[in-house]
Amino acid sequence: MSTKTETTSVSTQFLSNIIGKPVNVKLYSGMLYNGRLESIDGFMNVALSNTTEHYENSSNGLLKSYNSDVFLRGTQVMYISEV
Amino acid sequence: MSLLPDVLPLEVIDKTINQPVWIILQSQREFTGTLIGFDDFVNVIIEDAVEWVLNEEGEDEMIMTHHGRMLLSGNTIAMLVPGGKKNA
Amino acid sequence: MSETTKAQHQQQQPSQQQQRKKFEGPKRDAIVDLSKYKDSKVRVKLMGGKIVTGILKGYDQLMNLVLDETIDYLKNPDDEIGTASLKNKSRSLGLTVVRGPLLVSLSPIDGSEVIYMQNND
Repeated sequence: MSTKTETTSVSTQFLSNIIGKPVNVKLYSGMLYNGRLESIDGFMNVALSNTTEHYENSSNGLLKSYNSDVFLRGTQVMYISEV
Repeated sequence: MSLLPDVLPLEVIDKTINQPVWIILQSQREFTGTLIGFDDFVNVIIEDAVEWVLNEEGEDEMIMTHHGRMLLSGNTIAMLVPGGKKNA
Repeated sequence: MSETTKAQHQQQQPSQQQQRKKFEGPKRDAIVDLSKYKDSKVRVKLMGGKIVTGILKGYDQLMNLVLDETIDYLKNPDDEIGTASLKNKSRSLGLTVVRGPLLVSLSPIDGSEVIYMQNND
């Protein structure tokens, strides 16, 4: 009835809408990354620029700030959220 | 052909769109918010999500509130509760 | 991607492909018939150790479930196999959808009894 990959699913739509915007990305480990979303693929692999790193939430103090791009592995991504 | 029951899980989720939802991961982490949509893998988009973690006593502690939309990976979603959390 | 290679394979060696299909075919059938548990109380274990009970209202081929009057038996976070519930604490969730990919086991509550209760103290 339906094809395996729905090209216009809400998630892909969402992903293309938020490229270039500031986002929060949390990994299953609890690490939270805040930065500008440079690119993303269907596996939820993520590339961020101007990234800061916190544990669980931003009030927990800055752990690290990155000037270069940060790449996050899709399998470890719990969520991507607009800021 | 097959005797499918009338209540289909994905239909229940579909009926929850634009309504409050409570999403429970396989870990102690939970999210509440408004369900915007979901895909074939049940990756979920929720709006104005609140993120919680159940502590050792079984009480939920708020981790952070999110504004706007969130794409939550369906990988570790264990349960979805239409109507959201009663006590939040 | 794999679909196209499969198709090519099928064109080149139809007999071999057919044989493989015959061999794989029967395994695909569901071995559990959830319809007999419909509207009865079931206990479900999930990956990560969660245990819930509820009345089975619906399901699909991926083993996603619809449970009513769901009760979540909160477990000790470091008890991965989920044998002990956290000081017997539980919470009521009402109508829920349980994700099939995370389902570990399902059993009817009628016809089972607690033979050993672990004490956490």
